[in-house]
Amino acid sequence: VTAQRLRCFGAVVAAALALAGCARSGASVAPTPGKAVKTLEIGNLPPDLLGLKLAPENVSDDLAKVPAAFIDALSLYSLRHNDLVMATLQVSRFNAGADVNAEKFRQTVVNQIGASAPRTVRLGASTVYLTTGTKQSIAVWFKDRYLFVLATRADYDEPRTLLRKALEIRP
Amino acid sequence: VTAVRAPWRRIALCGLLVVGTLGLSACNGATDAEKRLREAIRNTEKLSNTFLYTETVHDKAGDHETDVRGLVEDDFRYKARVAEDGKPVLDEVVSDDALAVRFLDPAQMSRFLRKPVKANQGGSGVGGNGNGNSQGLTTPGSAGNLGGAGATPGEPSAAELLATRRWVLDPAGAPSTFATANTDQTLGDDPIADARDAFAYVERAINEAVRVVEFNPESLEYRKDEDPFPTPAPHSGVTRYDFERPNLPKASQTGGGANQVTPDTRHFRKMSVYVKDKRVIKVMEKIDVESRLKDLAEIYDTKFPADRSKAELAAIAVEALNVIRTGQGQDPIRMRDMEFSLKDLGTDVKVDMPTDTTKGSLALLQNRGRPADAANGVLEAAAVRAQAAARPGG
Repeated sequence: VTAQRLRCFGAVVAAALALAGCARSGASVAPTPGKAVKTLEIGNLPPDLLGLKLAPENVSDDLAKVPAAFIDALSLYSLRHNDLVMATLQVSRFNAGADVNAEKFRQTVVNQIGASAPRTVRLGASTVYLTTGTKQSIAVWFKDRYLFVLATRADYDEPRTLLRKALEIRP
Repeated sequence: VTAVRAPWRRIALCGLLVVGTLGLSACNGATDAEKRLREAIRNTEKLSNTFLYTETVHDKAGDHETDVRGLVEDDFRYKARVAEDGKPVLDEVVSDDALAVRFLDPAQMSRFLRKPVKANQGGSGVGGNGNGNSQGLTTPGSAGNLGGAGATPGEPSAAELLATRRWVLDPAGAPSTFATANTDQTLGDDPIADARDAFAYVERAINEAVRVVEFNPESLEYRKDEDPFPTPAPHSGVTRYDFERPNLPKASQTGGGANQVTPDTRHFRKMSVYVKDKRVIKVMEKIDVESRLKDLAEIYDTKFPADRSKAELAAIAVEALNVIRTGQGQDPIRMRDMEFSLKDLGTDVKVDMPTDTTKGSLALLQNRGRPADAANGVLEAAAVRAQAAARPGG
């Protein structure tokens, strides 16, 4: 069930990134086929966040189903308490065709993640978009060419503290 | 006769064209003013600040003032003190998921207690409750004593601690950051949430206004006697943006359904936002029913008693409108004056948790506590209400 949920979540975000190309105007670089999206290596990742064990998950099968995406690398991590997945963190790198600094592009990406209208909040110097999914809270933020999506179980007690810790991650 | 009339017709036509042109230019100006204001809001809401939110509600019983004074480090870290009619009532500190609360006047606790209807409205969650915390409807049932619901046996409950003016810390009890479809938040229920939500409220007011214009005392449309707000001081660098309210709906007007369209807050709202250096420094609002009593009398073909003051008549009119509105499932009109002032924008503001706290669940308070504790919170809130009612004079 956990693996299914992770796969499902990965597919949702990958689809969002594929559609995000709609906001792009006059891009000269072609989108990346899903099969060509590489695994993103993030150095200096801590072994855990707030006591939740951080482990990479394989989402290559889901990515392969996406015909065209505006990312060229992606990693999905599970954050587990014992064996239970409390949260997932997806880090994606946009390809050269994505207009990542354009607010319109960012809004288009954010609008396609989650089931509710995103709300913008400020945490320290970071702008984070908050939305919700089924029984989960979703936080989305951009850092340089990277997109972070943190999804936490709705019954997890420290989602904001976890988010603040996750904001410290630098790819 | 024709020769004499022709020049007058031409002059009249020119006049109309000029008026039309001015009208169009006014439209452009309003759009620019609105854009500038929205940009100022975006600039300001990103910044740390200290704030003072003051709301004076007018009803048939008189005027009641609530102040919320606080500081905001960022959207997940803030502290606030609530005072009612000048008397401190409540302190609240939020740091990410943690929430600390103490009542300086425990007799006022009932206003902040969890409502008995919904039990699925905890706090926490990153931006609300997600949409999967449903624990169904819960009725209080038999309200236990204060030490009962949610308390560890042998230790005082949050309600008991709060009743003795002590700090209670709920490590995962922070309020939902914003009102969502799942949060049952009516203006006035939670003054801290109202203060923290002030910018979103102003954005909604912009959407509900006919247009936003820059304050111009020389405008042909400006009426000094209808302006309740202060004029920016000359050379202060402060720009004031005024919201133009829509006309009242006609009695025959219906919305999408069969219901008559009842006047809404937007029809009575006067709002001005003061901006300096592209940042909002103050918001002022007056829900001014008095100035529309004549219109109300005409639209609803009624006569107000001549022996009452305008303030009394306004309170009576709003009460009558609210009977209809609540019957239609709409929020009541809150006849109020509101002022939201911001200072220390962008300065190094830090929020520290109080040190003399006792851990406990704050789910007995509305929109606070872990969602999983909400059902117990309903019970505990009911017990507090029952005790208050049992007290002599309660």
